[in-house]
Amino acid sequence: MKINLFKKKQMKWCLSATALLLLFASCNKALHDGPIDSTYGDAFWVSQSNVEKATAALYGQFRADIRQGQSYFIFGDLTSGTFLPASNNSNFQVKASTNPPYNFSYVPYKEGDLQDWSRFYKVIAQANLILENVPKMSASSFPSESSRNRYLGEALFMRAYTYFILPASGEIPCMFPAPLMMLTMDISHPLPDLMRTKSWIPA
Amino acid sequence: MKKFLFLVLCAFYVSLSYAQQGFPVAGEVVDSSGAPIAGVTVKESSRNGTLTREDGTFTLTVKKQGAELTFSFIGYKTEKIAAAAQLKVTLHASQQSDLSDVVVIGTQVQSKRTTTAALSTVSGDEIENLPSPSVDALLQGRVAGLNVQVYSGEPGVAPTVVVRGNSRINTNIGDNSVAQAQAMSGPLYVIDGVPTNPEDISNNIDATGTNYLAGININDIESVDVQKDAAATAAWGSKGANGVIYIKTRKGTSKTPQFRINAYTGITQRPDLLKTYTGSEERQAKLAIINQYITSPDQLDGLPQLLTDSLNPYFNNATDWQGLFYQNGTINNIDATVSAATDAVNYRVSMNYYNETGVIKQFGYQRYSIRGNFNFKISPKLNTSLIIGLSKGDRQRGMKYYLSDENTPFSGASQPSSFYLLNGFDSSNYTGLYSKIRNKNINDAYNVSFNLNYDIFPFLKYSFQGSANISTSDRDYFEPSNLDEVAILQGGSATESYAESDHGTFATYFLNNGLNFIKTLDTKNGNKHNFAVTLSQQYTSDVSKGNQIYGYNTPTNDIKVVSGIPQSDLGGYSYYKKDAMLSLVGQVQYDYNSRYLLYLSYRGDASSRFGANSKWGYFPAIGAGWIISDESFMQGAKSIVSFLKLRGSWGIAGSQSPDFYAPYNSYDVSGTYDGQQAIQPNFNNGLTKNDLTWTRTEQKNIGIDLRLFNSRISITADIYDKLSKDDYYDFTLPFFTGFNSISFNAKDLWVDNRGLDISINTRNLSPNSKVQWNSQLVFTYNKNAIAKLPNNNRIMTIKDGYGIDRIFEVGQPIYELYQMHYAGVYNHQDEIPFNPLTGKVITYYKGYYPVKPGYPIWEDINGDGDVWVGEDNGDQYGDRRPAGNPNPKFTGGFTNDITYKNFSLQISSVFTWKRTVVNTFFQQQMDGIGGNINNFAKNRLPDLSDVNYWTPGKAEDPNYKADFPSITPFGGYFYQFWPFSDMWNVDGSYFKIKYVMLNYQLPTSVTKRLKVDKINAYVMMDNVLILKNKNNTMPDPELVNSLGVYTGGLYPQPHKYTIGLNVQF
Repeated sequence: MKINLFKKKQMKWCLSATALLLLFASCNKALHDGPIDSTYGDAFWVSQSNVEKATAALYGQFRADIRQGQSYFIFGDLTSGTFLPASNNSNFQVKASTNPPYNFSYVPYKEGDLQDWSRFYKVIAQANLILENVPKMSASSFPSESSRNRYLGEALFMRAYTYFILPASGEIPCMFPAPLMMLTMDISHPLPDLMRTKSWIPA
Repeated sequence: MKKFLFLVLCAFYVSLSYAQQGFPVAGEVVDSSGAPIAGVTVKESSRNGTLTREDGTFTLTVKKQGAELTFSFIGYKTEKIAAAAQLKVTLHASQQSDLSDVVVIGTQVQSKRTTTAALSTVSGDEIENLPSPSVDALLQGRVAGLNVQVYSGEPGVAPTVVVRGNSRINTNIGDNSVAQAQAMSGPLYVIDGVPTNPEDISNNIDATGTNYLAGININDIESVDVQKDAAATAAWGSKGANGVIYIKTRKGTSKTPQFRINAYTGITQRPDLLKTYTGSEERQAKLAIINQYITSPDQLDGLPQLLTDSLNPYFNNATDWQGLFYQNGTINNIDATVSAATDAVNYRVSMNYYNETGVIKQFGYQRYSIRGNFNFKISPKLNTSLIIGLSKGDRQRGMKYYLSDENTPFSGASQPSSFYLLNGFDSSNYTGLYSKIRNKNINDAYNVSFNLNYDIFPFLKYSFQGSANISTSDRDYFEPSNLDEVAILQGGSATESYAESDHGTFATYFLNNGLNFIKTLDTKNGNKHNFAVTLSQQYTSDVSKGNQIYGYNTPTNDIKVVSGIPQSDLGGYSYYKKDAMLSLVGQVQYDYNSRYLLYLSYRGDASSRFGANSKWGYFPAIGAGWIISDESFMQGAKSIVSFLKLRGSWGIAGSQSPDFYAPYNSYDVSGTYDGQQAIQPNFNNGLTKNDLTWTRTEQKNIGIDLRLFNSRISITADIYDKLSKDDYYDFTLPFFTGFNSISFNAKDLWVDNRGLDISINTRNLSPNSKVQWNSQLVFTYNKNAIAKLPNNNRIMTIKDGYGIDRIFEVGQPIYELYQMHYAGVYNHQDEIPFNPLTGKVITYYKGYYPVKPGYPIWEDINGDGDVWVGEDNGDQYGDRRPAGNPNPKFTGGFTNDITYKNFSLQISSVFTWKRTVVNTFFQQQMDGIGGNINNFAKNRLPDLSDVNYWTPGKAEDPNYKADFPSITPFGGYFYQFWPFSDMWNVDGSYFKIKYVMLNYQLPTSVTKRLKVDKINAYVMMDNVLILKNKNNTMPDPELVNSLGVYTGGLYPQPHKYTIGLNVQF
């Protein structure tokens, strides 16, 4: 009788211990599961079609940023010094030659669009993301190295171009230089990027 | 040798059991009214006992005459009586928790007497038959340390429940629907051992906004334990930081099958409407006000036609806009229960139907539920139990889409003037628009729980629990295209028709394996060392999934589902989220002679919601207690102090991130570019966080439990300090990273709550008196303060969705109001101070408005001669200062039970004291008519009969003092009626008598003839009386949301009158 009891006890301890261990083991995978209703870093950079989507986001973000509050017009044409605000702050009229130049230092209700450049850093961040992750992808994700380089080239170009249109010296109230000043803008920063782009984007 | 020893032990053991001669005892057990009680446990020791039969009689053979017999039964005070040949024992019902009861702390069952935890219990009998769809509202005023504010009378909506002070700082209070739901930290609910966090459910699937607890029938609840301090909550580790509410459902108790039917019905009374002038009365009143402010006849030319053209049939009506939407409601409830408890099987099956129609048309809640509780004793060592619960809740919410205050098409403050014509078509449109809207909100809950307990050895027990809780939320919404008639009236455009269908399922799977080791070591001197060690392993997994389809422009208004919608207006998505958590818990309870108590617990949790580097969180706790009344030096005072326990505890509990995939840098699909989908990171929270971890709450507690005069007075008092750290905070990232913010643990964000809970229960009249009067006073004092802020304690101000700024500063409570100070009215020109810099009078609104008589007095705190909130002119804080604390300082309740023969009367009241609330209801009404003659004409005129507002005419008297600034409709409006000054702040304290219930139990002589066991009838009145601060014009000061704002749109708590009958046979 004593021997049976001993075995039973041992069996019970064994059973409970194994049950516990099994449960512990199966949990481990579940504790590290990632989402399936959104994509994330590690799961995303695996195929060319995904890189295509990331590049589309790069251009899309730039498009959204440059269109915000008519910035594409204001940065592009208004810096020539030939316009003045008209009846309200969204319209502009040609200024007479006798008027003093308007340097757009006071842009009421448009400060968020014209004086706050931080949104362009999203474009730069997206470009950096592509530049960081695409080289790490395996060669089998792309039909050829030149198609990989094409994406790199596009990202470099967008990054350089964004740096180019940002004002050279940080936040300044007078941020729209007159046309003459544009030539002296510091292009040494984006220049290396542009040089590299030349070799990567097919002509 | 070992075999021989073993046989000797066996023989000795066997001989022990048969050593005594038997002494037979026979007797009867009755209750205080003389009725026999069946199923009472009569025990001499744990090996020798029996149950009373149907007629209350029992027989038992005990060791010797005079041996102590224990008589115990649920709901009655346990009696210990010496054995005699014939015994008649009377059991008295126990109102408050008996110390022989047990409580479940974490995974360990402890006795109330030797626990070191701070907890309060509400028994199911106290809250039975109270007409509320969910149990959390009924805990108000019955538990010390629990602050429950029923801020809306809408059936099916959860009240705010906070244990020992709010520890959450929510920086998204600008969004009103978020503010109402997520401003406060809520407790964990453990229902029959399964942990449930209703906030997880509502964050993930909830389309309907219905309270998860409304799926549980109140009459199925046996007891609710609110566990407050670390000794109790650290055992729940990463979920227990803000208290644990343990709900136990009823089991079968009587030896013979018992069948019970209970029904109550009643009406809810239409609330008192706002006093409003209508028709010509309104016209007279408005013109009278205008006359008080006219300064030149030209102003009369500018009066709108709405006011002047009193013969025009479109403008001379007396429309009662309020009357359209309010009605009397009804409330009905019926329960049927069958239960029995035999030696082998113990079961209780109950069914319930609850129906409440609201006092606003098209609001209501119906619940259908069935619950079965089965226990099987398969062998002396093995028992299993199965609990199955199914419920369906159907909630009508009028036309509300989000959780919002807009219960009627016009909330109180935005009602139009009564001049507008409301013809038959329009009024059927407004009231009938409810019938054309389809807003179905159905919540189903399925709970299955299987428990198994096996005694491996007498001292070692194995228990297993496996449960699944599945909660589904279904919402079908349709809005016809001609809905917004009011918008058309006021110049807007009608909305397109919109149909939506949502379905979500939230499933929680829970597994618990536990080993329970109980051993008593007897020392030579007869002292006992009692050990109870519980080790458990738990695995919890939540799966949230669902889908939504929606579309605009359904083909006709009769098609109320998403069908036939043009492709460009159609949208939909589905989602799936899963999380898992593995926990290991160890709890040790040690006591020496049940007098010196020590408790230790340690829990480790690993959750999928946390970063790869910090998956595990560890939560220790320690508790100690001393039952002073057992000491020899206290024996002399036994008649006065029957029980005195001193206890203390310290521990760390935590809470999780609400986001299932917080550590992952999820990317968003941000649109399309050139036909290609674009995917980019989420710039608001899209960085991989491998170190994201638990928030930690450290709590210290010292408490005493005292019973005086043979338990006629029981006092439980606790002093606590709860410090919460590492809460999730949105850190702003530098702009050049491209990312806006990241939500991460704030090592430097500390919130401290400290205070005192006291609970006093008294039996005021002697036990021998025919009338019994028992009272319970519950009192909580809580001081909430921010102890540390990120970025070196930098002060933050955030504007909430109502336009009121809140300041977050070290030393201030959370959500402290930050406003300009209002000090009265400038009555005359000489009272107005002047700007020290310019010599001119001070100005308001950045210099645009020099102050004139009739303007409010706003204090110039920064001394620059202009008084304004200051955001625009460079001074970040302007003239604002901390102006009031919306967290209540003192809360509590006072409940009285009076019984006389077969009658019993229960009066429950609650109170909240010292709380600043903002009456934006009055503010919006004044803002609606302020400074603009057109608004003055077309909006409802508020009731100004008690308002002493400044007018030039009254100011001609040099001694005139106005209580309210000028309300001139002729220009000069600098937003003086906005809530950025503390003009609208009032003390939101209140004392409310919530329930008065009168119960009559038919005498046993009558019930015996009818062949039933018990019949009782009851009547009840709800929301009986409100006492509030005399300056407070709000009809009900409890109807403020968690940020302390009263908008007037919140659904009123109506008076309810019910009558019911309970039959048991």
